[in-house]
Amino acid sequence: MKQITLLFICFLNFVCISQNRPALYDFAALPQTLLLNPGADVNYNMHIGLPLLSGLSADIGATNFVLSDIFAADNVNINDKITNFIQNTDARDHIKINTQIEVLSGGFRVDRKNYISFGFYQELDAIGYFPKDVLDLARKGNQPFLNRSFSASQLLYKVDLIGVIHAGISRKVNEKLIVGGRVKLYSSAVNLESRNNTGTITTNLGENNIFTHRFQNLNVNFRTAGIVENNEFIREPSTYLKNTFLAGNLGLGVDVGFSYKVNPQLQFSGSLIDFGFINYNKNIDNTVTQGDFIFDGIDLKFNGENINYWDELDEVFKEQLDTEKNEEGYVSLRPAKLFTAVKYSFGKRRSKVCYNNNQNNYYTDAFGAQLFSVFRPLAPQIAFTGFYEKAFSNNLRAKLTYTVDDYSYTNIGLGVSAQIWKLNFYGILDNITALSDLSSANSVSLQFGFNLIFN
Amino acid sequence: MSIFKKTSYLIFSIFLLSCSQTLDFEQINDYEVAPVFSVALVSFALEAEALDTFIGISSANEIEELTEFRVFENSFIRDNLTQLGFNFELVNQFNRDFNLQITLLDDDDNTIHEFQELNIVANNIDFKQEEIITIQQNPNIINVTQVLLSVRLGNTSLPIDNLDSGFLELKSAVTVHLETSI
Repeated sequence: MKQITLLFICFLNFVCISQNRPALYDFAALPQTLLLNPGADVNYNMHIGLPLLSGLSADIGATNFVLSDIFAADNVNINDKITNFIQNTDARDHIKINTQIEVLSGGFRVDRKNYISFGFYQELDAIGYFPKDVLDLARKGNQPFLNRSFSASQLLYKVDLIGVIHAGISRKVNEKLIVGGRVKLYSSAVNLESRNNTGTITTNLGENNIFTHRFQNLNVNFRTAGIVENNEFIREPSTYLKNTFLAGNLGLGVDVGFSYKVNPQLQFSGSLIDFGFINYNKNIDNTVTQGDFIFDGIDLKFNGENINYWDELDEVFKEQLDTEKNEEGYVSLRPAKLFTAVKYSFGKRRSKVCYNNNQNNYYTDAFGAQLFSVFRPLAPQIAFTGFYEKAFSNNLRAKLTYTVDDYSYTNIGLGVSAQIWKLNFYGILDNITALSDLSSANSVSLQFGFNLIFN
Repeated sequence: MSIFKKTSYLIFSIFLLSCSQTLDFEQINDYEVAPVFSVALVSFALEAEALDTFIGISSANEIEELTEFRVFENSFIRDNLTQLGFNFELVNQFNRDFNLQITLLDDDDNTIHEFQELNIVANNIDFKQEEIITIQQNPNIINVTQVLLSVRLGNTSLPIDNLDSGFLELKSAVTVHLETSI
């Protein structure tokens, strides 16, 4: 049973496809919106997320690349397809994966003003940029590229598998303003990253020999935490899961947010999520190469001294271009996210529950715009979303979104939230126009979950 | 039908109705890369004084130099090497002919490959020679661990002396052709 549970959690963590966070933002007062804005308006007295099923989300995207580019069964030689793909990419293109599973989630109203929420979720977040220079060098070698400087700075990736325990409060300051904050304790099971690399590798026609190879200002690091223990790879999946429960490398973060109603119909909101860090000091295994080295072959002396040229070269290479492994700890920032939104409500005004002062009246229709930004290693990724939200009844709401981001200019999303008795179900599907051919989609995103909500 | 059921059916229907064109992931097995790396090899620039020591005064008619060459100990190169192209460029500013013999040896000093002798006539300042070795025809080449260079005077009756000006210079490179698949 234990193994089945682990398998199920791993399956959910790595296979489920879902989540465009901007679509969930401020949608239908769902409990999960509090994870995107702790200052969101909450109009119920308590919520309990169904364990492991309250929030399942993932977001898979790639710029300048779709699966069918490479794997379409079109009788085109795959070598040509990959060559075209690499030619069309640049060092800013990337692939990203983000999945989250809410393991536990809950919240309750303390009084008219304060709502406390808490929970635990696991997150896999990975981004890797296409190191075009490295790919060109590996595919074609240096021979076709004399005088071209291959940049090591294009080596840029980050993978995190973490568990997050969090608790937050949403406080209604007055009828117009709600502020909120959340404290997060991160426990990292895995971190792999390479960033802030510098240096170039160049082959020129030489003076002392036919070619001169220059390794200039190289500083390349490959950091890992959580995958090697006592010089051996950790192979037990349960260890990784255990490390997401406070047994891994620990970190701290905060979320802050607000909602401000200019008038009953116009609302501004914003939040900063995952502003924090993780301090890696356990199970570290880093590799660092740094230095300068110029090589133009072995200069033979013919002086009868039986010089061991190869050993000399090896010694100079290791001295000038030092590669060392170390277990030095390091600090890595979490990818902070920034949300801002404006929402205008209109239509019929309804009350969710009569004679309950905790329940806000709401309008049946709303439209607005949201700006989402996540701070990534190379540059922030920005998504702009326009939306229309409709309440068909107290128990059924929908949200239609149009998003422009790095991955698509035609991203239309649909979210639905329904409630029967105390059971709430929500599902959000992004990029629905790509459903006719998922293999040609730059991004795929879906979120769904089940909550018990008590008014 | 309840709202909950309707919504569930709607969401999952959308998923189930989603399509994808036919993909063939097996074709990745056909992917091959064939990088070509050009690498500087050995060089020397011998002036009359150096040549005189070994050719003139000592009356020896040949000087030799040996260096280890352990590139093929790398398993990736051993497994994926298809061809080697050797380029030699020589400058002879002396008014004597020279012969250069380059031999590839294994750890036990056995000859694995002997290049065609480089015969550089007097005052030839633009001598170039290329030799290509395919691994298919010379599979033993990956056992090479040493390179032996022998420089000889073309006419031993006319030794170099200290008064001769100029130099004999060698530049060389190897072009390594690899081929690998995923």
